[in-house]
Amino acid sequence: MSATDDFPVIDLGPVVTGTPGALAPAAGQLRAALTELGFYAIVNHGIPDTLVAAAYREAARFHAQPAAAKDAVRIDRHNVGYLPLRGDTLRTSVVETVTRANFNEAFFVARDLAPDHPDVVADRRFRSANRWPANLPGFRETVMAYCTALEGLVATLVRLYAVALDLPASYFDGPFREFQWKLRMTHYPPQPPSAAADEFGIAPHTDTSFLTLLAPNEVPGLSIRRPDGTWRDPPRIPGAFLVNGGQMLVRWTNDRFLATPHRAVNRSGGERYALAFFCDANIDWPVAAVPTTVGPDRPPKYPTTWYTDYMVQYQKRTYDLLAGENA
Amino acid sequence: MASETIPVIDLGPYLAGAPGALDTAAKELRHALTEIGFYFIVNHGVPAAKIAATFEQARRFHDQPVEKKLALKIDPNSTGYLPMRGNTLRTSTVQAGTKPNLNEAFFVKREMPADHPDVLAGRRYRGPNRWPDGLPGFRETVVDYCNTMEALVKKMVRIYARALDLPAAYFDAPFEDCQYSLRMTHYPPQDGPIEDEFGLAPHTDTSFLTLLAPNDVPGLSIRTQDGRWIEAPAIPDAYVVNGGQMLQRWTNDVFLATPHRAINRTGGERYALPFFCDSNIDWPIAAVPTTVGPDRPPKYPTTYYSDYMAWYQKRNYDVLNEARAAD
Repeated sequence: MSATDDFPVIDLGPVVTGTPGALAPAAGQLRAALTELGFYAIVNHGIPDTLVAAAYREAARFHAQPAAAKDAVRIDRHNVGYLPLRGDTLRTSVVETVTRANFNEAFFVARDLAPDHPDVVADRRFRSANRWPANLPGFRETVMAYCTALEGLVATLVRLYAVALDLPASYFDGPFREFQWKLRMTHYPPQPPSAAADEFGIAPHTDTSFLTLLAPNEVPGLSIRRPDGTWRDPPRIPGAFLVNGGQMLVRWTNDRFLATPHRAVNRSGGERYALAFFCDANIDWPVAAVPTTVGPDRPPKYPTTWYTDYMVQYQKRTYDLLAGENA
Repeated sequence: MASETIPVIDLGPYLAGAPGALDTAAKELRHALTEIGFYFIVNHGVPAAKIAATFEQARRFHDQPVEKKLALKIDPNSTGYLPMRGNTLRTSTVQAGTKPNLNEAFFVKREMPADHPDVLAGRRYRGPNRWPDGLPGFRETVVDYCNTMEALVKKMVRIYARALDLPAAYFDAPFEDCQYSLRMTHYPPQDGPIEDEFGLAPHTDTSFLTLLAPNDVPGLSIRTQDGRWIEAPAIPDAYVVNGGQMLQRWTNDVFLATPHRAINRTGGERYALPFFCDSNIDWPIAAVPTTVGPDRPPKYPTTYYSDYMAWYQKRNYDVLNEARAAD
């Protein structure tokens, strides 16, 4: 059995280099992956290994700081900053009833808006300035270089999504102009042997995103729930990003594409870091089923929503420590 | 008085980039298209001389001997010369059983380079235009007019987007390479109270929007929502704009496609220059997100320009069907 067995692996090389005719076959693989499993791996994606390694180093550096330094950039209502260990509980999970808080700590970064950006000046929700740590020289630059590279990759990926949905290749170009993204730099400490069976590094959940890019990780911990309900670990493919869809993708596609539940538990005995890059459309773009997934006999299953409305509701349910902000 | 019924939208402030002007125009547009389905635009930026020059070319074209015109007989792309009584509006839901239309027309679409892939592939509705010989300056004037109208449409669709509570850029990509058709019509004088013969029988357009050039010669009538026919007043230099069947589909019937007709009883010749505009040929035509939901399913199946127009043309263009039967 190969390392990848039945796990879809899409070679993005021909797409990234703009080879004529490369979109359609890759889009076919994408459609199969997102209708059957909801997860896939990408190789030859063009993100340098060194950039990924540098971003991991910054995650480790951030979390190695004293608690006081991390608390100084505590997560705010825009969902940027530091989320402490056990700071969130995934009550919105449709996967199982979750009552215990997640055994991880994380630092969230969003698009780095300038302090004089109109949305920042207006204190528009989810359009704030980032909360950078004070004493980590080079942290911001490295993290932003990583995010900018992934942003470029997403611009390519959404063209595959469009073709996979029988839409013009440029269909998502407009919605994904200045799209909403968030990098979650997570630290999963080793799970104590005494931990309860229902305590997870991150409890079973589906993402909220249109798509999530998970950086190649040498430390295992992630499990994916198959459509038949059984759990499996993804194959470890050196250099491959894992990609999955979330609740927004389900809405954009009227349930045609999957948002597959996943969870993480770090039983490696050492520290585990993860870099999840969550992507959604432009904050002003309506989120609704695309034309090829609806019709008079296939009405939209979800009301049209917007990023802000959806995320406020989600955050209210999930982030205990922001309860005051969302009251 | 009819001008009280058909709203006049001043595009001046919006086109000049005045703050707030887009949303003001959008509000007026929403009213016009939900209540009446027709409106005038003033201060649209199209020079009167350009309009006059195009009318002059319409007259020149139709002044040619009929053999010259028939040499450019309308083709399956809907470009070329439609002879007098060449079409019957069988698809009309407004008045059934009318006689063929008493007008002749010359149709021009986007001028495609001879080596464009769509032209090389013989793709329907993407063919070369059929230009007359022996009319120096005709092509240049007409192409220039179409380019001017296209630029105006690209600005106007931003008002449509805001009128539908969508981001201003929502229609930018769908209208990037919009399908358009300029109909250069000649209505000879018509006399006698003929019940079922019209210059152009009551109908709705197929378009997303139609821009009808300012006309000194009356003849256009519009059916109000309560079923009365009113004559469109002539407002100097104002374009008349209306929506068609595609607009209804894009908006799930939130916006109107209002029936209209033309009869030339002036005793002289009448020319008309409607510019019909639709989205890119590959863009799916379906209700925008703010007009649908689980409780408001789409009323129309998603369609595409080519499919819709092929169906429409087959029903209405006798002259084409004769040509095809003879093949």
